[in-house]
Amino acid sequence: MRSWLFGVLLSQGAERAPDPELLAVATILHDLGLTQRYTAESRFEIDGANAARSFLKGRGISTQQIELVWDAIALHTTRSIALHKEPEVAMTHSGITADVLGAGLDRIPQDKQGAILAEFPRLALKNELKKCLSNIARRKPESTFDNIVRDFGVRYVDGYTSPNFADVVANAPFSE
Amino acid sequence: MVFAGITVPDTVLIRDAIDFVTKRIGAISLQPCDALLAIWRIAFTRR
Repeated sequence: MRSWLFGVLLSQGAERAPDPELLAVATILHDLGLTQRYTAESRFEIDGANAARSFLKGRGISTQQIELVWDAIALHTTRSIALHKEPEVAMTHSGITADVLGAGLDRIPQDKQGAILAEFPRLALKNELKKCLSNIARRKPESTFDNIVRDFGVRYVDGYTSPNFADVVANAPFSE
Repeated sequence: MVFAGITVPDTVLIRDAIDFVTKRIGAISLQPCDALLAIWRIAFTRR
């Protein structure tokens, strides 16, 4: 809810406004991949995007709109790409990073920030997110090669290892 | 709908999405993110 509301506020006055319903759905559903029911074999963002796609099918929105929500959820932790995509993708990312990291809060009036946090308190989100992402690094390290979970694995999980891309390139089956 | 003084669209799809994450996911086993999910449910419930 906080991410959604931060995304709504950050969208106001944007040069390209997102579809408000798609922004809502993407932000509300963005962490399905962290739940036991929807965790699968991929990185958690993709598991969540796939779960959201399944939820949206047959609900009267177009395939293109469903794929936009899929992209928004799949890319919600990948700032370097999300901000260059459609407004729904960019604002889903922006709302979530405002909530988790505080990014962009300087563009949201203090009274509105306070109202959101009062109605939907964070409830130790930092620590719980750390535990949750560390558990993913522990349970399916192969899915953490190229996402934010890798950093939690390196810092908090004993024995965690992840392939180094330099090694992957060096070990490619070519002579040069 | 109004949340935290912010007006947002009131559509069946959005209400279904909120219902989905607050109720239907509630029956799952809570590992590995049990505490986070519990917080998540609470976070969707207005004070």
